[in-house]
Amino acid sequence: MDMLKPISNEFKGMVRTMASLAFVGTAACGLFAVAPANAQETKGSLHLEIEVETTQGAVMVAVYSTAETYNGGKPVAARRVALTDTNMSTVFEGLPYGQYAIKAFHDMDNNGQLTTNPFGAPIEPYAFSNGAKAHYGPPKFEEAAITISTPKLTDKLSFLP
Amino acid sequence: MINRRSFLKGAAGLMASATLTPKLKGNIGPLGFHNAPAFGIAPETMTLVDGLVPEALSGTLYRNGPAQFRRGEQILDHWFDGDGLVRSFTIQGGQAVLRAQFAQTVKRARDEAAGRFIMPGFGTRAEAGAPVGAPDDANAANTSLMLVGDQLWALWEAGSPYGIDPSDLSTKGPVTLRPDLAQMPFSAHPKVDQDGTIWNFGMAYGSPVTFIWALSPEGKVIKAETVELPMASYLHDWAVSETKLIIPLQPWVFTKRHPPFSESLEWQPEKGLQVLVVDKNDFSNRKLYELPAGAFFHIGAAHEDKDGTVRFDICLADNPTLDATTGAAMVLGKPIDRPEPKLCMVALHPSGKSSITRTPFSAEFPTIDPRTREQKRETVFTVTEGKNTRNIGYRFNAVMAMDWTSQTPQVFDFGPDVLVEEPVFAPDPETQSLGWLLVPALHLTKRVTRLHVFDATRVDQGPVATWQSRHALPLSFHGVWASAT
Repeated sequence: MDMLKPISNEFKGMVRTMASLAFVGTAACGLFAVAPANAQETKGSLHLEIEVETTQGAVMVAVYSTAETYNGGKPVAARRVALTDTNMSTVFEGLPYGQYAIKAFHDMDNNGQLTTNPFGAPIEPYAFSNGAKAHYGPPKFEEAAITISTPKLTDKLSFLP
Repeated sequence: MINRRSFLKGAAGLMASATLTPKLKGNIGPLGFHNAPAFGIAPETMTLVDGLVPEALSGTLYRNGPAQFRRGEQILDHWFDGDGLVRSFTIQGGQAVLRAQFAQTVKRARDEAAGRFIMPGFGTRAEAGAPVGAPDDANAANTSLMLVGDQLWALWEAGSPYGIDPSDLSTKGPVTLRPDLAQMPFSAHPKVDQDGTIWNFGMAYGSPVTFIWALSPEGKVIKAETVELPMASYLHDWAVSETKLIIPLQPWVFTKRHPPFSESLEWQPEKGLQVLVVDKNDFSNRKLYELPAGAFFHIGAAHEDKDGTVRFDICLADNPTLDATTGAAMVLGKPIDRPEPKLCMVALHPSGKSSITRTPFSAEFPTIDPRTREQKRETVFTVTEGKNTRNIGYRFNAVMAMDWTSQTPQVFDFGPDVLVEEPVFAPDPETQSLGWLLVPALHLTKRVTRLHVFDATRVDQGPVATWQSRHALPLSFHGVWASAT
């Protein structure tokens, strides 16, 4: 652990899990194809409404299908949404029915990471699905979870203060 | 949170035996730790009840302190956690006009919206699920103030300064000194060099480092650097001399990384009081001094002798005076035994030797004539305990001027019905060395706030003028004088 950077307990969890959103480059990090295990499995699309304060930079979104991966593993889908308006939307297609939780941040300085100050506190806006809020770190998977059980589900990611 | 009903049941015996503890009327609480009105105090011309106001005294005294202790049945768990109420006393032509407004912080807005305390503080836990994402979410903006150019900043210690309008005390919002330094801690005790450079530190929660700020007089960042410390002490105040940053590290250290702060701290006296002295121009040039253990909140000022010896005055106690238990007891108005800080002078010699000159005088909230900051310390002003004090946590009812040359104090004792706050020095602009002390006081039986003016050279003669408000304000911590001239 880097002792010169006092990432207090309050933010260590947040930054570590957000770091798992280490996006490199651009929209090439699109949807990871999810191979259906069962030909009869039903899939839906997730429509995300994004609300930001400024159009600087981009919003980085990661979709997780289990609490384990949400806490520090690979998302099933991830995307960089370039901002042309303070209200944007993005759609993840072909998600098998089930529970998902989303972590996202507004990458205002375009460095691909959730920027922190010298003491490790996050200084870019972040948001979670289901309107869940940070509490000394990201909300739990269960708090942020949304369920895809129909062909279309809409959720909102608000990055307003 | 302490539930008021269970407190009343359990403390009935204590309350019966206390000589003070005003009855808890509805939602008010003990005077001094009661809620200020939510909409603040509209401009009130105070009544001159005694003396004559010096003609040359013209300007505004700003003060800050916690002023929201109760919401519904909930009572805060520590004095330090109340929302900041910014007060101004504008003195002009012999009149004093009082105003006060709460700093409209994110924390206050969230507690208000919820109708209860949900956000955390020094001694108060956050409610489960409360939206705490970054330091400024918990910023109470309640400890002190500073003037930066034409701006007024309300200071806390674990987050950003809060901008306040100096005329109407409305809140402008958190101040980000540089985009990459958002949410960095900015202590309640910045020190200003003779050339106007502002030095400050920011305490790290749980790590043996601190953040050093140097700002131009207008508030632009000149330096912003993390500095390593020998231990992760609770650091509330420090000193800055002509060429040095002086960081006293008490053995009250963060050992557990979980909120609230006050429960993460452990007293480890075997570590002693370590004082780190850092060269302002070269942070790698450091010296560490080891002194006997002591706990402190406040320091007067530091200066350098010709031979390089650094001296500073400090209010030192045997143990921390405002830990979790004591801070909670203060808010409840319970009688509590607290270690008494005493006024001391520390000397740090270039050889590495150090010494402490200890006086027997109880002292807190030390202040000085700002014009003399880098000079050999002759006088320091403090609050102190008079002969008869009530049996409550806050016992300061007297004002003291300590003459370090003779080590004799001048004291004015207000008696057991009055609580006094930090004396702020207002220089007489027509002189180099004279001035007044502005001392707010809470009269416990009249239930009003008064503002006293002392001749700083004759503290023992008592106030030369006193104004009185219709209101009783909760006690405040620190203030700053903005001269009109």
